[in-house]
Amino acid sequence: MANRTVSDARNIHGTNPQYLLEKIIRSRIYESLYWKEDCFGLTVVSLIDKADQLTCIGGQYGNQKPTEFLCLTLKLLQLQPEKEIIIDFIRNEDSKYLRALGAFYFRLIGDSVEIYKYLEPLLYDFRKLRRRLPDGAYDIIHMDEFIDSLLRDERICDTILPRILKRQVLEENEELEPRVSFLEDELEQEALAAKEKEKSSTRSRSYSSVRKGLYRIYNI
Amino acid sequence: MSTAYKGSEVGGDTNFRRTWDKEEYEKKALERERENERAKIKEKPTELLKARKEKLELDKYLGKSQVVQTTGSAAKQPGFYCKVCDCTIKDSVNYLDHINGKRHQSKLNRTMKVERSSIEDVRAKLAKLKSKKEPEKELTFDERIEKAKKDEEKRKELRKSKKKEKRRRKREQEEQDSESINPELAAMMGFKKFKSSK
Repeated sequence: MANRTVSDARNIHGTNPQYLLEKIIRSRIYESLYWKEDCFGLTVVSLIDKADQLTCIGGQYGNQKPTEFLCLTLKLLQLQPEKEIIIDFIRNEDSKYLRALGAFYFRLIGDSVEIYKYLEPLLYDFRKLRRRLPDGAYDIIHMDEFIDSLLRDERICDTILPRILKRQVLEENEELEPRVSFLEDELEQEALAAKEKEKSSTRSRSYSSVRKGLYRIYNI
Repeated sequence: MSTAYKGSEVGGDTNFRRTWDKEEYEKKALERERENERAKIKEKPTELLKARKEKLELDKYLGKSQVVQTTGSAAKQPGFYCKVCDCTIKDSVNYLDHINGKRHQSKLNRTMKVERSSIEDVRAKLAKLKSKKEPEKELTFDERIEKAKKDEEKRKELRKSKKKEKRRRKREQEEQDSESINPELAAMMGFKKFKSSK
């Protein structure tokens, strides 16, 4: 049937992949008009078009209607494309909502090491995303914020994310290299400058100047 | 009680019952079964599920008046009419469920399975997306003039070739007209073709 997972799907986290969204949200998605009209019979290829046309991310809004973003997530869970395809979604630079969708889906299905490996590069993507709030209004968050909350928070877009190991633990187990911030050099220079200034008994530079340095480098 | 039917051992007075030719009916039953199986194989849809290309326009008739019949053919009854299944469904949600349903799809010879996209397909699609998003490069003033000149020349050439074509067609038409005169009549009238006839 139209709402069934593909027959050759593998279990993820021990269950049918569709069950990664809660039952109540799933059934709301199945009932939604967008699901019935636009998501019917989608393949992964035709889903790319739909994802490109997205205008916001988010969970449920208004009268607890699921957003199109959630509908497409469920569609991906249903179709279970290969991981390489999702990695391609994440690496694409043209469509930010496709990237956000890929990242969200990958956070649901991936294992800890992979999640850190593929999502952390997106922390340098500062593009804006529209987010639908529960009351139906919009606000703006940035891709790096979204990715950061995917890596840290438990509940995003009205979905409970599967647990992942903390980065620190993985580093201790030597499964991940320690993360090197893009700001490392800048911060070191700042520290040096601060020391020198301290020597000459002036005030050290504030955090905001570090931010300014960031603005200068990456033209945010 | 036991005495009443004791008389004969083969049937007794129960031979008013009909007897059945078991072999013949067995053969018939087998044949029926085989036919059913064949029908089942035939009914199985062969194509994969496809997404709709066109918009459904469920609100196409919103705010419009229509003359409808409450009886008669399904097509004229109020509601959403499905051409494939020849039925009318009263509301949009049920209509969506119907056209997404297994019965409707199998009438279109489609299973409920979706094609599995390969990574090559996805990469091609992403590349297409990229090329679509790239803005056309802006031309300088000189380049624009050059382009305009070229376009103008093309237009002129097109006009010329059209004119030529028209003239050629006219000539052919005239020739045909002259040829289409009945040869007998022409002979009677005493003239031949204008062309040399060797």
